[in-house]
Amino acid sequence: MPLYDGKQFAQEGLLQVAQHCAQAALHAPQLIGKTEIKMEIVAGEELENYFSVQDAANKLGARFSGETYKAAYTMGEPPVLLLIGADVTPIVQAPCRIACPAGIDVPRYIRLIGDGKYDEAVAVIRERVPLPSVCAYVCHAPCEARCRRGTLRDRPIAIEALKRFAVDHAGTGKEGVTSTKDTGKRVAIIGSGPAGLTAAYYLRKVCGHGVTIFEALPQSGGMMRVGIPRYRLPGQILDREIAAILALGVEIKLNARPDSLDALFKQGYDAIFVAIGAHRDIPLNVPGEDLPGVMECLRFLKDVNLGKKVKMGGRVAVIGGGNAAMDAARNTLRLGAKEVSILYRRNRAEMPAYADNVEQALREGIKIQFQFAISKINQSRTGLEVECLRTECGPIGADGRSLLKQIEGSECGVEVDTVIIATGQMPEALSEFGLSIDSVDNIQADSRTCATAREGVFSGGDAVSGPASVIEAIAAGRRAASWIDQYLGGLGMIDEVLAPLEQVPEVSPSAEALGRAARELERPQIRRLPLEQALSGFEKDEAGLTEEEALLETTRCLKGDQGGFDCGGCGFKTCREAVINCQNRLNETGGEPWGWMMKGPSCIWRAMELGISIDWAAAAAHRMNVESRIGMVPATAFMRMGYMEGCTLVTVIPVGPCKEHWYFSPGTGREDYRPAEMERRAQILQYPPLYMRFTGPGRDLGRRGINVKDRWWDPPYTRLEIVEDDKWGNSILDRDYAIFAAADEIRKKKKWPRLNLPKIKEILDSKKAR
Amino acid sequence: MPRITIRDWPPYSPTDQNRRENTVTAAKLMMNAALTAPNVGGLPMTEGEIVYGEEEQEAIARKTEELAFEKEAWKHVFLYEAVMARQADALLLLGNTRAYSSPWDGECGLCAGRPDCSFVYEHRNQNAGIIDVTDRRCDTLIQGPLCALYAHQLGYNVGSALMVAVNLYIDARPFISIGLAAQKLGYCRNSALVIGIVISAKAKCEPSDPALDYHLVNLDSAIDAIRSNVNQLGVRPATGKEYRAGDPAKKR
Repeated sequence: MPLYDGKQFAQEGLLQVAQHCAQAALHAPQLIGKTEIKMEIVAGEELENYFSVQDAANKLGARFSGETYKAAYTMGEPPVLLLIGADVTPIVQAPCRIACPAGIDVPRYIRLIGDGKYDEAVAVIRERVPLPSVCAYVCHAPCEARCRRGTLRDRPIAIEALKRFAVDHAGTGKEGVTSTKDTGKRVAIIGSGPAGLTAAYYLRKVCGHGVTIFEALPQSGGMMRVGIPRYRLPGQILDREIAAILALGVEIKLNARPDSLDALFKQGYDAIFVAIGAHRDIPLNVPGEDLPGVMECLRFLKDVNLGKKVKMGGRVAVIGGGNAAMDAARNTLRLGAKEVSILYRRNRAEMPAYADNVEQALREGIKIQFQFAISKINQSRTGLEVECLRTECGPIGADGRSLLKQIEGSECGVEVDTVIIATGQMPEALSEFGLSIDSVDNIQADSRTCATAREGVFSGGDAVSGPASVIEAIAAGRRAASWIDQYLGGLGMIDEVLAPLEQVPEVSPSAEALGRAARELERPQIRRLPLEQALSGFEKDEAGLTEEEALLETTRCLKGDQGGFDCGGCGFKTCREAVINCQNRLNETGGEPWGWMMKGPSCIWRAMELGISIDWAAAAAHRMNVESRIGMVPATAFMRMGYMEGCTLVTVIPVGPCKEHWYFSPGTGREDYRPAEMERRAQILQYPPLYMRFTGPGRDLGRRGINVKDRWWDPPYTRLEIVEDDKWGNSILDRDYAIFAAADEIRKKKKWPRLNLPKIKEILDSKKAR
Repeated sequence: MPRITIRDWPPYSPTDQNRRENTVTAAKLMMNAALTAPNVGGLPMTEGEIVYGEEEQEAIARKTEELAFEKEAWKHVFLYEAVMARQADALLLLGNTRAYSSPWDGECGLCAGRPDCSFVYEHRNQNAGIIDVTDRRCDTLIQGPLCALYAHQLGYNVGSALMVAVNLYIDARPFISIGLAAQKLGYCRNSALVIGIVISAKAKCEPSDPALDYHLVNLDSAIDAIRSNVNQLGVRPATGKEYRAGDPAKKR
């Protein structure tokens, strides 16, 4: 046996070259700096996936330039492929939309509110979130943090308040619609929180599977019901949203906790989604934690929200700095506590609670004591004594937070009657489910597919990520629904088009003009209930915007999705127009690759910027005396197989052994298997129809519906040739479908998002000449 | 009679000229590299011009400034880049001659229309697929729609040119604005899409590291301001005194 396998050694060398090429691509000069280059390296057995697609096309007479890769592969000199691509669609996407975990088209619904179309505004939200009202009432609004007006020495648009205004003023919408689709498959969802309800909505309504939700609590809603106080999310709002989902035909079993996943499979469920949330308090682990008068935060919140009587004293200390701590503290005031303080071991900047929640807590008179670390809880003569040590923040640690140092001799005590420990939550350890968990009991599942290690079992939301926001749980529910549908044989396409297509604006308003129009306006102050009234019960403490306020506020929007470079190079006068065209086209095709190779429309500058990077990558290989070229056709197959997700333009750079003929003379001697096709082509090239001489092969303008003014080439050139070309054109479409179908097989094998083959067939058939 | 231009500033010294002429040599090599870049379908479609000289660069810079004020979104960027066109040692312009007149015909689907190039044909006066390039009317910055794949192709050309600049240790950076301005002045007139590459061989690579408000605060304006300050503050206090009689600074 040789010291090393030469071919293996060469492959490893090529891998390093490919990595070097990737590095060069990243270092290429930028033109506009708005093209995020994505790269993947494909080598070894992965190449065989490509060959299977290529073979499917070749059977129908394709001339795939990647044939040479296969020849090299079979001869033991396989190339390493570097895929380089990017999303080069026109960009005027507003930062607020990018910031939204669920991808809600924020500027669009703001515009619709401004036009008085509240139903349509809610439909835009509902396209991405099946719980629009919940989202409007409790979302922490990451969109506002990225609002373009907020970055221009002004306050951000009150997006959250506008969203609430829309849901409060919209009609019932389409939520009462019952899904009539039925695939015969059944899905069990454990947990009726935001992730579970979202998955149930899509699995039932869009995918047509039977859905049963198992909820351990007596009421549905999960953390939305038992974790979020009623003064933030009124019960009737939640009831309305859940009722709309149940009306679709979703079954819910309350007070039901499955014994095991096996039992569910035995009951006939085809897939299970575990969305149990994070309902267990993390203990503080200090002496005295089990004393009477010391409560766990989630237990406390749950009891309050379910209307149980909670026994507590007049002086309350809440330990922790998260949203649960704020909610618990604010709840205690409403239950009659006289003196409430929050003890937090870090400073205000490192508090995980949302700023608004902290501000409201302070407004209500809650005292927040920073840099207090709890060391012990003692029973005192008057109640409880919380022993603390003062802390100071040191350098930033690996987790991005400062390292805490306790100050010696700074011991102090806080006298209270009740202590609520709110130092974090984690999922309940359900060992009977047999799922693998990490060190803090979070279920281990793929972050993209939500799949667990067990076949047919998926998990998402707080149970996987740890405590997060409602909108993030909704986003997880969407992902899970898509992948469960694919697991059950569907296409995993859950997006709905509920709002009417947007009209293309004639002109793009300049940012300056928009800014001038709204310069005099200020962000509306959110009116709150008088303090006494707010603390006397659990009424929603925020009043919504008035209609006048909402309409004025919409005019402050800088319409970040409308102002672009507007060069006209793509064929549209404004970038906005191009973007809407892009969106409408995706709606039309279900997001499939539209063309033979790539997905348009493209911004010519982004496409060019990607070209610079690709050229640098290819050149980098040459500088190391390794052969490379830029291939486009094989990229088609890779895109369709699901590689380079999110890219609209991809090229393949094969990095291979220095036998130039592999890559620079593709096809030589390897096309024998389709002599009939070659013979036919040779005839056409010998006697081309006249139009071909002018316009290139494959182009029949008339057939494609292009307005041709003068068909002067028809006689004396026989119609036979044109008919021949039609057949040829149709065979290209058949070949195209074969590539899609073969690529979908690879996606299925790899458990990647599936292609919408029926839709693709419909589109391709519509292009065929009759 | 040719134009005779006289200006007190900036000085074009022989060493300055030598440096500039070297960058022109580099620009020629960059142009060659652009021509040998991979071409979609192996078709010739690259057009290039080198612009060198104070008057020529000034014209392009002024056209860029003119465009800057046509749209708010362009203003800030184009004004900066106009200064770079003015201060560069040379400009290399690269264009694609086919993006407008003969799309790829490859059914790629990269443009905004159906994947059969019909989007480009339908927006043009054409007969039998031959586009009438004499119709140059346009109310946008670029006469679109262009073949998006050929626009992508121009990226390869630009990339190759820039790669040579890197190998020659010459500062270079591509700009949309400069290319468009040059094209409107008649450079690369067969191309609908032109990129301007600023080439410079100075100790400070300003195109990659411009100061804030670069159209106001740049090397030229800073030097000019120093001259002004020297005149106002440095020279005037000494006037009326004979420097040989004694150095005023020593008496302080």
